[in-house]
Amino acid sequence: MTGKILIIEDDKGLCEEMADILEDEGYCVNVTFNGCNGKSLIERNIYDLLLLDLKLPGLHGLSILKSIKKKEEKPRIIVITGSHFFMELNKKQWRCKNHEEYLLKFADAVIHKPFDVEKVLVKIKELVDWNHQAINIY
Amino acid sequence: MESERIKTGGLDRFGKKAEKVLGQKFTGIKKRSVNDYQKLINELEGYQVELRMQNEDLRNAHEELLKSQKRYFDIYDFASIGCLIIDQNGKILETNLTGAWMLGMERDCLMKSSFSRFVAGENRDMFYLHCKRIFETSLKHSCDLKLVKKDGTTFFAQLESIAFKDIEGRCRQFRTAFIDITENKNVEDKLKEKTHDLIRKNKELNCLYNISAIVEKSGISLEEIIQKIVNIIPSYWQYPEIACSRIVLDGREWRTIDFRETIWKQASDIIIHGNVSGVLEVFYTEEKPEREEGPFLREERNLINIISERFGRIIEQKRNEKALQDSEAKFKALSENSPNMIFIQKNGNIVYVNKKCKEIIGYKSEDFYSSDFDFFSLYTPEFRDTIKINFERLINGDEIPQCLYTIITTKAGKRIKTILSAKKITYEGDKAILGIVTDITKLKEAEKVLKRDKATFERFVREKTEELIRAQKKLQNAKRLSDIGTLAATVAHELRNPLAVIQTASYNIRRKNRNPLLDKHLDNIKKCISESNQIINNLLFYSRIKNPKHEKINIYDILDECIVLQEERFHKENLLIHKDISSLKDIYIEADCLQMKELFINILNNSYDALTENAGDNISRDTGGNGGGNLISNGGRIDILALCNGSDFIKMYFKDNGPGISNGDLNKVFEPFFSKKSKGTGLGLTVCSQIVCLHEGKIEIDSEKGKGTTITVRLPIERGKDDRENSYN
Repeated sequence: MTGKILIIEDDKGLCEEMADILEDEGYCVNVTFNGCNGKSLIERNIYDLLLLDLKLPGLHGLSILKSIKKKEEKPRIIVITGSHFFMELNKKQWRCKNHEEYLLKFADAVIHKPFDVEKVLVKIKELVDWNHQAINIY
Repeated sequence: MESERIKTGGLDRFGKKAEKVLGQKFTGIKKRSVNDYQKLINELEGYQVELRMQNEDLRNAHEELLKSQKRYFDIYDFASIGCLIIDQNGKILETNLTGAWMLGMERDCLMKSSFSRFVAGENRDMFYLHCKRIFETSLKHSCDLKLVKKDGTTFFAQLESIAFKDIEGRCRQFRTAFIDITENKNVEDKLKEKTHDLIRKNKELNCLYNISAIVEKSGISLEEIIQKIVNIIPSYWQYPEIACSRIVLDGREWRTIDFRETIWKQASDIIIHGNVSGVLEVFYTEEKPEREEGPFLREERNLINIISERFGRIIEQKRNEKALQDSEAKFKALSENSPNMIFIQKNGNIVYVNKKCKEIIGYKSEDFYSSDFDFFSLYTPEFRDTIKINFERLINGDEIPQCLYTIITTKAGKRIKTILSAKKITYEGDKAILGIVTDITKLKEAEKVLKRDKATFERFVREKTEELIRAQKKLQNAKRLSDIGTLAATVAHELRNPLAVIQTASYNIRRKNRNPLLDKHLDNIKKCISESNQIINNLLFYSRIKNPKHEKINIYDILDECIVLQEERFHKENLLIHKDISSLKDIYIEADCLQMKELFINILNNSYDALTENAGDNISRDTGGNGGGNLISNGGRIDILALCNGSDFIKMYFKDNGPGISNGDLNKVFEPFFSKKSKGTGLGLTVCSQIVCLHEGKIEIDSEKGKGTTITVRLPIERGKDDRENSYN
């Protein structure tokens, strides 16, 4: 069973490469480079998984995370971030672990760039499958 | 005898009378004998002689009488008092010359005129009463009357009168003697005036005396004094029962209880130190007859002025007293609390010593003040004479040195080095010497210590200066680093994105072209990405000065994980990792997990770099080989040894057999951006040092050129416990 994945990432090259890989893996992939668009796409469609960057034009990734948390039927989320620090949140004070801990309140996994593609694919598969199982239960 | 008879016709008259008497007699005795007649004649002749003699006597007496009369008349006429005989109708019957002269009239004109016309109108009733009393009592009476002379001038006269009976035995006249008492009267008036003056003066004095009594009463405040003075003032005015008073001084008021302001007011300014500072007022609460100043007397004006003047002086005095007291108290406090010994010496005796004096020298006040106490004996003999001479010179008004160095022996026999400074003063009216003695023992000691420690101090200063310079350098570095940190953080994020793309892209290449020939290149890309990422991590880590998040972590697991992670790289370069870390098993330390990983990875990276950097010298390259594991090491290895010291700390040794570091560079390796390598940021060991420091541990590096390097890391098991340096070696 294939899953539906949305990639929200401002780096077009990365989007292209990831979409390529994921489509070849058999997933249905949507891509957007803008935070606002991403949010409206989530509101209008049902996704199994979200690959989300934080530093986005239009709307910050964290805002998207927070808006999703309120939804009842929500996708699994993997945050893919380039920064270890949390300038936007904690008065410019960087806290590596807290940053990740904090993000994990909203997301299922946090992956730092540059990442090992194979490991990410394992994670994606795991999360998509889990989502399907959950849906099947209901 | 005949002639005498003629002369005195009176006697003739007496003769005829006699003859007449005789004739009658003779007729009775006619019948007498001749003898009888002869006898008779003889008798008669005897009588005649007798008579003649008697007559002579009488005549003499008469003349004497006349003379006397004339004399008394003169006395009467020229007596110093005026004499009058006045009848019951007040008419003058007789007067002497003095009387007429006193009344200013001729004696003759005065006769029969009424005495009342000479009595001043206002005294006529009195004169009438006087007359009445004289006739009623027939005793002597006197009265003072004002009389008017004919020419209109007046004088005071004192009359003394007594009634007398006339020939018929009836009291119809009286004699009066009067004298001019004008002068007496004037004197009396003056006396009265003087008496009045005296009474007034007495009153003033009384008032001032009472004021003084109030002022001199001890233990009474100035406010109370003023109130008491205000209270007594009304009693010295003419109408004390309706008088009230008030004193206004420097804006404050004191009043009598019944005080009420009215229009009947007498006031006087109070002058203190030449300035009008207030006013003293007296009011009458009811209207009283007009006197010199409204209802007030001239004397009262005088009195109020005197009181206000005196009052001003009292206030001046009291204020001066207060100022003096304050000043005295101040100086006493100053003297008693002085750290110096202070004494006053008068005529060789001590009259004052302060607390410090007693404290240091050890004698009691009464010892000092007793007349046989010799203050000079306190100075050690070598100084005694100098001080005596100087004191004498001082008393004579000569200059002496400002400070005299001397040694004082205390009661307990202790010798104190002191500086004595003496001044000539006036104490209770006499010349005296005020001495101030400063104990310089401590000063001297301090001086000694100072001299001895000068070298130490200099060294200390030098060290501190160096430390300061180092700190300054550090600070400059920190500033530079914080700028670099911001830059690094920005660059890192921007670099990671392309790295992620490269990594993903190379994955796609590998996936889409299953060509083993490309694998080698793609592996290189992968390795470079990993290295780049580590550089970014170090840069980022270094730029963040942060406190570790302490947790109980299993240090063995973390170290092992890091070694395993690096093993692959080491093996590819044919480097040997030998670990002996089993003693850390089940040891939990308080540390930040991520920082520990960072620490170990950096140390291992550093060793890896050291072992591979100069590979060209030591490592032969097999170009014909396949894939990664084609480099053959000549025995490059890293030994990792971990030890645990009970419950205090752990120690880890990372020993490589690389080229080593020269001595000159050894102490720079922990400095940021110091690198001898062709690549890298020079931050790896700096980050390590920071992490260890933050964990209250210690990192050391030992190296010998050509033999290898050992990095030793010591970490406490519990925070704040490891303060025993080098106890484990």
